[in-house]
Amino acid sequence: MTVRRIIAAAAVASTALALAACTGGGTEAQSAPSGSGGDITGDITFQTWSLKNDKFTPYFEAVVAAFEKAHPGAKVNWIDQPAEGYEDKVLQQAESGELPDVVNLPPEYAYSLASAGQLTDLKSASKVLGDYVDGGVAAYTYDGLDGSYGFPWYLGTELNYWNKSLLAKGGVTEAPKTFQDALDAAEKLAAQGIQTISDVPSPKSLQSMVTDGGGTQEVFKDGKFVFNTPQAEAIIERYAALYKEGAISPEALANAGTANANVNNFNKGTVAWTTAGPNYIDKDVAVNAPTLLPDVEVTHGFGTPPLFVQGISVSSKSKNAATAMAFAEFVTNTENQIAFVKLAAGFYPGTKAANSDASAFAETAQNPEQQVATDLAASQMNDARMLGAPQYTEAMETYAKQQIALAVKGEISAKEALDKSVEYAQQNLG
Amino acid sequence: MRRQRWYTPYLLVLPGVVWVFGFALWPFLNTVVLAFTDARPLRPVSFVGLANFQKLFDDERFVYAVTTSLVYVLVCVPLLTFLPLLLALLVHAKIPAIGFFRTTFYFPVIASAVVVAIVWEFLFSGSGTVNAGLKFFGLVDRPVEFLSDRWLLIGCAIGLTVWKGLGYYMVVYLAALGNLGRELHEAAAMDGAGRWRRFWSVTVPGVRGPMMLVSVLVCVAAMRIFTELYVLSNGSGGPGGRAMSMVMLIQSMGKGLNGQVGYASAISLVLFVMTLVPLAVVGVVNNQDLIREGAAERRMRRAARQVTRTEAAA
Repeated sequence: MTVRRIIAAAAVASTALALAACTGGGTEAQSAPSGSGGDITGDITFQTWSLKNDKFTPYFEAVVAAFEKAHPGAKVNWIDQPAEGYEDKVLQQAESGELPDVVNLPPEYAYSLASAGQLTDLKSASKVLGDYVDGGVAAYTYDGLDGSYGFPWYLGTELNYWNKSLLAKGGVTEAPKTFQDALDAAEKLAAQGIQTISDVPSPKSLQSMVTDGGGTQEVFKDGKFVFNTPQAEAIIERYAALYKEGAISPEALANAGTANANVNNFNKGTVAWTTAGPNYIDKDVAVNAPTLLPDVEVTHGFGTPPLFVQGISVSSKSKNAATAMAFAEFVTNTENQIAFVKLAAGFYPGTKAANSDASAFAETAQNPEQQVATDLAASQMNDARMLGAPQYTEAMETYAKQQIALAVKGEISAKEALDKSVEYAQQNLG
Repeated sequence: MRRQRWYTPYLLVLPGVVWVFGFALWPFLNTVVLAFTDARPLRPVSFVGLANFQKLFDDERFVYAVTTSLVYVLVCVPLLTFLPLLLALLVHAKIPAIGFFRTTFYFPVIASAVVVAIVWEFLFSGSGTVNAGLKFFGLVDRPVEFLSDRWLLIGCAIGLTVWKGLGYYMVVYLAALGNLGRELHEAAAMDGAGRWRRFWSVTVPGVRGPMMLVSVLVCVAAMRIFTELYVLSNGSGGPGGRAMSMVMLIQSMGKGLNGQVGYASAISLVLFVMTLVPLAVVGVVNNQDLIREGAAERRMRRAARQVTRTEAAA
């Protein structure tokens, strides 16, 4: 599940409470911009991704107002893009030379744009990059490209969610703690005609699955795609067996390569397991499937859990580069980040100082299980790391998932699926 | 009355010409050029000759996509050519409240294809209505994979297309049936022709023109099928992407920051040529008389020439 989906889900769940809570945006802009030259004046455009809603709009308006107050003559035009089709929108903007001066980009998009020379290298242009968490900065630092291309803005991870009543029906009394347990539980449930899994493994999720068993699994190493390992193969073979037994919903195959299918199925109460972001309970289950709420139990992510990062990048084509840099630093400074993640429960700020005291941004959980999820997320953030690789594109992931779906269905072998996916990725590299 | 200036007609058609050039011709020419390049977003472009087209034949996804699109055409054309005609005959009768039935049959046409496809997804998903029904009656033990089996998925999509298209083509046939006089039917009946005979020998020839039109429209639409398959498979094209149509493949290839625009353009060009084939066939069939006349004329001219030549030689 991608972060933007989580945020999109969060967007739906805007509450009056959040409105009342969001007074933190209007802090003073004390920190002097580190951007080397130029006056901080003129117009710039700032683009966010699906964050214009009752919950976040007052926050951004306050941040913009505070910045403009601190820098008379500077004007920030805040725009927001819908959750769907963001990649195409950004591409269109970049191609027509209208990439916003300051723009919210996930690491993969930033990689494509940075490779095309569209983004400013923050390592050389900003003096405050050292204030941000290392994992986040690393997500915007790419092999073969000098520098770093995004200020880490907010970070998230993924947890496992279980439907207790379905587990109990299948004779499983305790939520599985390891991936192996999960598969065994799925087999047990299948015998009772209950489905557990509604997603097929992908090269990215296989990284967590293999590391859970103590192995190592890379997607891209030394210029080559290397995710076709025997361990990955074994997992897919197990999935194929489970599919025959009825542990995996047909939707898992139908939707291979589409985001969120497992969450939707879990919300419908048709499967016993899903992975989702840390704010899933309060922001999705409580809103979209409230009857399910008492049955949901959360456990930590398997193996090396995924780290999701969103960052703020600065366009290299900006006409008011100094203003753009100053605003990018301002919107991602500790104070503003804390105020932001207060609104986005379960996410973590991107600066070291902000993370030093988690109680500063912890939102009160509305449901007891949400508190468990928030705590679990906090405990696994240090282990979480970016899955995949910047070179590993969404198209490659989609292709691989589709091949793996065929393998799970039993039409091709697991080895064939992985080898084909590696070959495809290799062909489309660069 | 003042005479108009010489340029007035050109001025009047100018907006249309600009529109066609800007939004149809220019993008088309652009696609043709791109098909011979390795264009990808934000990267320098270079010409690669026919490499994209060579790549097509090694790409199994292209083969799957062509197969899907052709199967779609082969199944949809006969179904959507004859079923709407039968439906039109049914609601052609002048009985009370027939307007209600005509409206009802037309209803799916008005509904958005995406919305309808989502409803079908509810029906056919693993936990959907159809599977629940089958299970309830004990016909199946585990859900039928309507949406995760290549051919079942294509079948569902075809069903959706046909259901949604029926009303539209029915209206076309209704108009044609209105022009078909009762005399022919009466004459045929007098000669002892039964219902079936009259259908084949009076009704069908009477609506031959619209039938041609309908089959061409269906053929082109089926070749370019996208929405139904896309929504039913959530954009994935089923396991392995094997139920992708050509347009879906073009879309998935060309989109995003890493889209292969050149390759996608090459597929578009192939699709364009493939769409021309049925159009050409219909063109020939529709203008058979003209072609026959032309051929006869040529034969006569040749014969005349031969006569003159033999006369000259004699």
